[in-house]
Amino acid sequence: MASLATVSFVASPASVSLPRVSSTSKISSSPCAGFSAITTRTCPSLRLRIVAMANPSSDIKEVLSQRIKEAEEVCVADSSSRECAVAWDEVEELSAEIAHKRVKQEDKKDPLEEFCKDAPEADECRVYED
Amino acid sequence: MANIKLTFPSSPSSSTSMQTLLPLRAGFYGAPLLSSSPSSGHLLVPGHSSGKRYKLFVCTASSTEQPVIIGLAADSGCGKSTFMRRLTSVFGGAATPPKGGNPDSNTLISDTTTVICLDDYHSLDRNGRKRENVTALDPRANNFDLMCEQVKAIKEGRPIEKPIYNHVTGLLDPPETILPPKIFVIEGLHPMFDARVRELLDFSIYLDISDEVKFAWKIQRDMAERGHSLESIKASIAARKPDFDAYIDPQKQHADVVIQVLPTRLIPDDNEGKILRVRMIMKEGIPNFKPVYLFDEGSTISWIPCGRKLTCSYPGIQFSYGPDVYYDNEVSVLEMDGQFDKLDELIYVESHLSNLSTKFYGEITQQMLKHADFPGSNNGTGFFQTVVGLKIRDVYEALRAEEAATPLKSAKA
Repeated sequence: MASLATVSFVASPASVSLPRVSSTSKISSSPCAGFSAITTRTCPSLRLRIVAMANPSSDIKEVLSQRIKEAEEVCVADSSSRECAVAWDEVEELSAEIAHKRVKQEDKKDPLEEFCKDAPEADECRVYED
Repeated sequence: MANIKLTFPSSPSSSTSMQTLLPLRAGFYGAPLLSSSPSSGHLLVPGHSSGKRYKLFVCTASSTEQPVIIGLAADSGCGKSTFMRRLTSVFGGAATPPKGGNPDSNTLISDTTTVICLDDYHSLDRNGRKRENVTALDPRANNFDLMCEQVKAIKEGRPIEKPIYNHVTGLLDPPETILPPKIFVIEGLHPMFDARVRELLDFSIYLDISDEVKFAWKIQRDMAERGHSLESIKASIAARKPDFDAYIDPQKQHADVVIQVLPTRLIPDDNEGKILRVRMIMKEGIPNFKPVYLFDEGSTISWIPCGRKLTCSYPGIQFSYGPDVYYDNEVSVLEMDGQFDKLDELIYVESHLSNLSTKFYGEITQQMLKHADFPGSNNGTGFFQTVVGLKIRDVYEALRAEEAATPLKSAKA
């Protein structure tokens, strides 16, 4: 379950750009619930929103430590049982996902490079050759 | 402009006859066709081999190239693995997750290639598996019917709504749309498990990591995580082994190429797993696939390139090549033990191997250098993965060439 790290009340029509929200957080169901910055122009009827932000990477790591403990407990009784295999399989799945996320993070080095990959014709991405 | 719409007959037996239909080409009936829509259609010639009669039709045709379907069996999760990145790099471009979609999607898309993760075909999510007491390796946790149906749809050039298995939450998320690409790779635990899906694959690879190497790699991967210890990693591998051996391992016999990763024999008692002995087991007699050989095809060779012309640092490099039998199949095995330290070694080795499917001298070296930061860039894993990428390119080009030849044949008939 996503733990709510911060909960803040946002009163519009201030044009506040929403902090980057992970997919595991909940946003109050307003007609304009979404991840991009919300301005008054797109959401004229919005008065009060609850913005919840969760930290996904620490979540999954906590879940992993819990599952490891559980797996160790389950396997104490019978290390060749199906329950034991299922418990460790879950641990393996979580470990793999954490490792993938870590690699993905390492890949994201330069924000400009990322931007230019999508929009090579933009002004900021012009390359001058001598 | 021909704006033709195709009506497919609904009976199941006719669906196989669809595969024998002629791909639509611009100019087939003398009229150029629009090529904007992503879905392709096949023109059904009345009185074709199925013996059925159809009313006439209209086809929204476009790129009628049948996607090439590649299967990759690997236990290391999906999509972001090094193998996939090397493969997509051979075809050009970087593979990225679909833009604007589910951020936890496992799919990777580049200009020519789409890679999907077979975990998306889990029939049971994490809670379901706990309830039914099955691991993800168990076929009961996977929907092979859906997998078959969707891979078939892609092969026939139709887009699919593929479910997403979210590895973070362990739940099945709403589906994403996948359009047929030029090369479609299905990566995961069971690409070759179901016989129907196997039939659809144009090329298949199995990445076989030995237990010692698996242990060493998992230590590197997981030891930094709080909660994990040497014992927990060992226990995790041991607990999954029975299901792995029962369901995943047997797929080896069906693969066209098996890349086997073993501990080195050059250093006695090495348990760090840094120096690797990698064997590429290539099945003979696969259409459009020419196994790599060393010096003399079909003979048995043992080669140490380091000597007077090439100086290598410890422990050096050793190659061997020879024919063998693997699970009742005739195979050729090329093996590399050791590590590349310098550019010279890489280009030297490349220049002495044959049937590498390179388009120019040094292509493999260039690909390896492009991704020098990827794991395995200095040993057989990176080298053979790159070679497999080139072999897939061969299969792709051969299938394209075959398709280009078919309308001419039927026009004569």
